[in-house]
Amino acid sequence: MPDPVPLPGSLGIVVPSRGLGALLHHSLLALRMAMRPLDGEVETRVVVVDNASPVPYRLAALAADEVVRLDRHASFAAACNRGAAAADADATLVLNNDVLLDPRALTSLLAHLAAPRVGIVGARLVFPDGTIQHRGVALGPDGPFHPDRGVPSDSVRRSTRTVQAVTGAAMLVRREVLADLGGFDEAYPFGLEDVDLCLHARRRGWVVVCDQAVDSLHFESMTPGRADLDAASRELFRHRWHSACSPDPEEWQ
Amino acid sequence: MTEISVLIHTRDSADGLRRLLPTVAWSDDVVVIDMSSEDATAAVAKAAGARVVSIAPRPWADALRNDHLAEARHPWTLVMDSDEYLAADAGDLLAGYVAAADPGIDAFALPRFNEVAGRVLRGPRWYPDEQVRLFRSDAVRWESGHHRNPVARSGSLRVRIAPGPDPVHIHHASYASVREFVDKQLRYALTDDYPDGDFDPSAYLERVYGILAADDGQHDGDLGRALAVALAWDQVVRGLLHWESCRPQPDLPPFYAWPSVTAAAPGGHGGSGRQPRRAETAQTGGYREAYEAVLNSTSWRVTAPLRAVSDWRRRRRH
Repeated sequence: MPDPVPLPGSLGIVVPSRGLGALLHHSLLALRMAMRPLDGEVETRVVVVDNASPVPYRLAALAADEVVRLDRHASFAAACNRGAAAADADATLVLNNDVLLDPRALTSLLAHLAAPRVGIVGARLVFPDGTIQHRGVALGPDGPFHPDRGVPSDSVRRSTRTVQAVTGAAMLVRREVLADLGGFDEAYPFGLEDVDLCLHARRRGWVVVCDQAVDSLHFESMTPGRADLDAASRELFRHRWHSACSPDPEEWQ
Repeated sequence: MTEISVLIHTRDSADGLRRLLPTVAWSDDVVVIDMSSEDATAAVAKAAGARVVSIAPRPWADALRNDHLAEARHPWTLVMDSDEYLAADAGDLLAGYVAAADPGIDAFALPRFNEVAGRVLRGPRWYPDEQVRLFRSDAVRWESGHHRNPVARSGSLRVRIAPGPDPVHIHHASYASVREFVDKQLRYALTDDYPDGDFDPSAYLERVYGILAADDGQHDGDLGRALAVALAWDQVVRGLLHWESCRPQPDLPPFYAWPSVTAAAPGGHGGSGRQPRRAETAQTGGYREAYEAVLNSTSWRVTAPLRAVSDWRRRRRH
């Protein structure tokens, strides 16, 4: 009988969200299902960060413990930092409102924190058609990208990968990592703050892994206006990391 | 540290304060004027680090606010009701407004989200519902009565609407049900101040139809409709109370012919661009004068003639 996996004392789940109330509602229901195995084992807190939704969310209508309301739209990084501060947990899962977690996903992600050097754990995410949306972020000549994107998940191997970065769509981060790095970098308007956090964490000696055991669903970016903000984030990322990181060799991608 | 004092008048609102006070904790000068609460109001306020000023109970008359404006220590004051609260980022944003305020500006009007019976209402009557609540501490006073915006101490008040695209909002959740709403509206009506003269029934009727017309049925469903009816009725009640308070007491015109009115209002404050329906009106003459203000802003279909009112107006003119 293997030793039980040590779990963090507390887990915060931070869901930054703007509008899309029905999507958020179902994402939280899937989250609640994934939290059930943790009942009595881990103290949990679900914090929705209402990122200036035109009609404010009502806590009573959501399967969450707290809503942090922002009247002014903040960057994803700033929203995550607010949520993480409110959750104040030993480990924080940042979760997008368009991710529906598999019921086994949380236990699968948390298991990787048993290794003390692992600071950040990513999740394997598929599109509605079962093809890979994310199984780790690699660095190519043109910057970060998702290897195997669009490939049927069944044909992509399931062994855990140590990676350079993972997507913030479903990202589990140790408290020490957030404290060490001062949270996500709020200079990024939209996108790449997640990759930035991972690269900084690796520089500080943490290991970043991506769980491959379980597929969760990711609709990917229903938030309007994404393309413009992405460009500014890309520019900042390039400026910051241009000569400071190594591209993944092709066989790792 | 931000230069804004926060002023809250309250009675028996411990629950509301528990929700409100953490959202104004960014201010080092929060004053709670406690009208002799019998619940934990004063204790909750003190525990949150607010200054508590205890006074004798009064009905909810806004003129009370004037008595305590001097309590504010900062150059700017934010007034909040105990059933309201702010967003987590409001403190920073408000500090930005006052730091950048033109010297010629006395006050800011903040839009308000109104939640009733578990829904945030969006119809033009309910949103944006701007409230003049942030002002230079020495610039305003309130006239007596409930829920009026403040006026300038001298001259006219120069008010700026909180700048967009995402302005600071007041978050207001006061009524858990239509029943509670009706109860409170009635209490405000019964405790309000009515001028001794100046009773014009058609002014009240205009407001009645304006309120009914403003519920376009597009935003808030049956709840919106119910609240519109309750508010329209509230104007009838207020008209009667005003009539009773006049010395000498004027004639009361026949209120008995209340036609039902269906209306489509153009998109409230922002303008939705929808075309109003063509107005179809009964040929009774006379009523068009009375409701000119309403007709200019809405199109509506009168399903029964307003003959009684127009008759009264005709008699009054002769």
